[in-house]
Amino acid sequence: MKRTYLGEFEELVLLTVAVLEGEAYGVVLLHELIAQTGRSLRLNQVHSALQRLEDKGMLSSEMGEPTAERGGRRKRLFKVTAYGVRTLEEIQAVRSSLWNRFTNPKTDPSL
Amino acid sequence: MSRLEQPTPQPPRWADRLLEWFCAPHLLENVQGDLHEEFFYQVEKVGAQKAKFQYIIEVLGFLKPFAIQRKPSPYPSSTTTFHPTMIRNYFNIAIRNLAKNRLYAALNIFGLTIGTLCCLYILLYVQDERSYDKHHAAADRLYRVTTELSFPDTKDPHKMSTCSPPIVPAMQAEFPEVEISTRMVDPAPFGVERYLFKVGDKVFYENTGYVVDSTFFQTFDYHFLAGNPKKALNAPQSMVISEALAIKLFNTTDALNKTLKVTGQVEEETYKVTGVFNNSLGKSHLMPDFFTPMNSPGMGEYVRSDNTWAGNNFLYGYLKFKPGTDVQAFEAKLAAFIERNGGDQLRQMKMQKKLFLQPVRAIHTSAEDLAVAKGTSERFLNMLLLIAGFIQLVACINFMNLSTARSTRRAKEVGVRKAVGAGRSSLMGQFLSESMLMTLIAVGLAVPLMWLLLPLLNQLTGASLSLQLTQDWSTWGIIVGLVLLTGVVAGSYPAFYLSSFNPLSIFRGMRDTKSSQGAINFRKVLVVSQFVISSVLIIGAVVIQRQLNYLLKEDMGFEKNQKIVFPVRSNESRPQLGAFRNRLAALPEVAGVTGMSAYPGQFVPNDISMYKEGEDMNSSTVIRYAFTDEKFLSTLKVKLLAGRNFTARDTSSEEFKAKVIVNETVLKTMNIPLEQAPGMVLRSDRGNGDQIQLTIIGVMQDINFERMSKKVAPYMMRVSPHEFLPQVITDVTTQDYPVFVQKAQQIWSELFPGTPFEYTFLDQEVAQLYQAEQTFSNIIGTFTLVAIFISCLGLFGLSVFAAEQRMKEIGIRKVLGASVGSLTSLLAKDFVILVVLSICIASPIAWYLMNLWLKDFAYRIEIQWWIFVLAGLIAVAVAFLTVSVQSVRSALANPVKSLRSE
Repeated sequence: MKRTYLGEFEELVLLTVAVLEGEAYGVVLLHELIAQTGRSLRLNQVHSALQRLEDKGMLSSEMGEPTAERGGRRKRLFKVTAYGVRTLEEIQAVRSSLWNRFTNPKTDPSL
Repeated sequence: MSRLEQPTPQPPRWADRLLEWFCAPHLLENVQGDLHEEFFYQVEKVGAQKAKFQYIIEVLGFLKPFAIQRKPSPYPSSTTTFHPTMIRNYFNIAIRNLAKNRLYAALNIFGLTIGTLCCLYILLYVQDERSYDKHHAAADRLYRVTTELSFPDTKDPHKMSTCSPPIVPAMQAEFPEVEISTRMVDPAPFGVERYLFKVGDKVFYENTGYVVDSTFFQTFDYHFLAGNPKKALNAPQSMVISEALAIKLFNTTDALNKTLKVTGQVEEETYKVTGVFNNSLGKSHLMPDFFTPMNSPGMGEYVRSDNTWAGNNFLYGYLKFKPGTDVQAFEAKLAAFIERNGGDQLRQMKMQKKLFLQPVRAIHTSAEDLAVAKGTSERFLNMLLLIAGFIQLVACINFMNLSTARSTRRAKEVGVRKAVGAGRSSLMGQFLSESMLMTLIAVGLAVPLMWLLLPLLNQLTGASLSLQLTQDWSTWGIIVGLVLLTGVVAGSYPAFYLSSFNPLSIFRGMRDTKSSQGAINFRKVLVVSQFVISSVLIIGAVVIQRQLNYLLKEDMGFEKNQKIVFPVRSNESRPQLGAFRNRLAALPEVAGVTGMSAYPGQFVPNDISMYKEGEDMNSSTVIRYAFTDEKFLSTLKVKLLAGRNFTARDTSSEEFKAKVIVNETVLKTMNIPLEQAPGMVLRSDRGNGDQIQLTIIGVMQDINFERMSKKVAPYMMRVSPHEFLPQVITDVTTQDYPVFVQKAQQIWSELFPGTPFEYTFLDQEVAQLYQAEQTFSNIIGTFTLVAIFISCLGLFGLSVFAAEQRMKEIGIRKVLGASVGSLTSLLAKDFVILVVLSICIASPIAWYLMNLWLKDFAYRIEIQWWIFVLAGLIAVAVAFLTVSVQSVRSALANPVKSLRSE
């Protein structure tokens, strides 16, 4: 099977969606990501990443309830698919194995 | 408290609108929701002002492909407006519709066919007129040198398309930008209107031959059938002839090295043919029967030896520039050039000279040309195009009106189509293809019709167009362009209107009264504009016709009717000229015989600057002159206002050169009182110190030698012995011209056996001056008829429709006792009011336009009020007749028939 690779930001978004457990939608994700990473982000970046992840089949979405602060508009709630979870796990596995081999980091005195 | 009353801040409206516009619909709800939620979050956090700013930034952030891209339609693509299947369907429906409504189809197609016919012909005519001199390989680098002369006492400079002999060769020598140059002389204005050709014992007259430099065929491209263009004119006595002339003289185009004898500017000479060119390929303003080299005796010798930089502006100079030359910069250098070379001569002659460059491509349509091949003016062509456009517009309006008038009938169709899912664009496509089909049929009919009518149309414009569909692709381009343009113009409004119906109100039987009232009003506007166009054309046609009549009938100061002119041109005939005149005068039909160097209507090439006693050349007046004899005044019935006529003694004595009869305008311009004029001496200084003295012996009334668009110029008549007056004019008392002409021919053949007999009527020659007006009058007249006819077709269609709609009303009225007359007027009234209205609009427009046209004539008619009344009556009468045909028919119909069926 052909693997699809994730960009760094996509990975973050995917992980955050997984953490939020079914309550993830645009604004919440934005705030969570800002809180966690301290980056200055904008909605369009989040939306674009969400759309790419959904196209890759790692996220699924459905329309939620409308709320007043959204002007009666519904929100789109995202969930991580099984494929998305597996991708996250694989990434984690690759990282751990590398971290394990990197047991004794030698610090360069010049740095 | 006050905080609560404040309205909650809202995101900027325009940013929201922008988002709604660009964002893909399936994403919009979510994106906008998120944005709003974020906005209210930010309002709490940073305040409304900053939140609004951030909102805008956020919206702009979504200007990215992922948000803009629309979701592909889940439906098959065959339903798009311009899918081949749909287009085929449109045409199918269109054909069925036409077949169902034969009357409307016929009215529309008929109108469009006639409109297209006119339009197409004019487009081809204009294209043809504009195609002159475009075929030369260096067409955009060819320029003609033109001259502007100004004298100290004349206000307007004298413009000429000619220049002095040494100018062009000097340009070539001094300026490296000039690749090659050539000069051309048309000897016609110098009394050589015709040439006598002798081949063996056959004798021909030929009209036009130009004397050109040997570089002529290197400057211009002519299609040579025989001979070498580069060398053809190198040798003296060589001649390049047209294909037509070759066939006429030698019966073959292979005429190389054949010899012929020519009598023209000088005594008879032998020429050798060194080239034959095809005169039907490549249109040019220079298309004579033959060319002879400047390197010959006679005219050529004179030009070669002449070094006059100021006067002698009689030859045409052409330059071919090297590629990339800045012509404007070159033109700017000409002032210094003329000063350097001819400054002294100009100062001696007390005049100033400016040189200009005129693109050769523009010569034919510039209409400034004096002597060489008459052209049309760009203004005339634009006027024609405008008229053609209007005619086609009138035909298009018919289509618009008839289709929208029938909208009620098609409303259900539109409703059903919309209900089953037709988009507005596909409905518009359907109606547009209907008009396109109509136009296609019309053009399909118009093209063969034009092919049939071409000789008739050519007669109208005086052109010699031919429809070359197989050779000329540009013709096809014009036809296709015309179909598309007409189809779109005619079809766009009906398509727009008919596709706008709301299906719900159609099926409920509710007419959208506001929009249908709007459509009815628009229809009225269209009818009015049709009749405005027609009325302007009617008024224009009447005014032009009257002005033309005025020009032809108006007293020109001399009598031109029943005057027959015999031009005796060949030099060998000269000794017998006196005898010829005497024998003509002896005929019982002849009341008088006179001779002239150039008769009124002909170009008078001679002029001289004269001043009166006590003044000098600085205040001189240019006076044109022709030579004549003592019989001139009596034969042409010109009034002598003061002094005496020439006598027979004047013509035979040596003093004849010094005696003149001047016209009134000479006295007016030179400020000479009438009583003092006889006996007054006029002088002119020549450049070489000589002085010419002329004595006024008489004053004649002004006569129009030229077109009456010009004011009468200062003219004088000088005397000359009879044998030097080649134009023999006879005043004939009989109406039986053939018998008289036969007698004259008898005398001619006895006296001039070797010369072909010729004669012409003076009034016809004068009418020739107004050829352009005649053509214009013909065209306007024809187009007026066409425009009225097409407008009436439309009006007829509308009246049929109106009568159908009001059939029940008419039935009821009739049952209640209305008369046929009152019913007819009821139906016709609406339309006649529109026509009256359009005349009111058209009159000032036409008045303005015709005044503009008349301004070009020094002698013109007044536009009188009755012309407008006449035009109005014509328009109303025609419209009323058209409408009442149908009105009377429906008024006469049996009411039982219309009321029975429900």
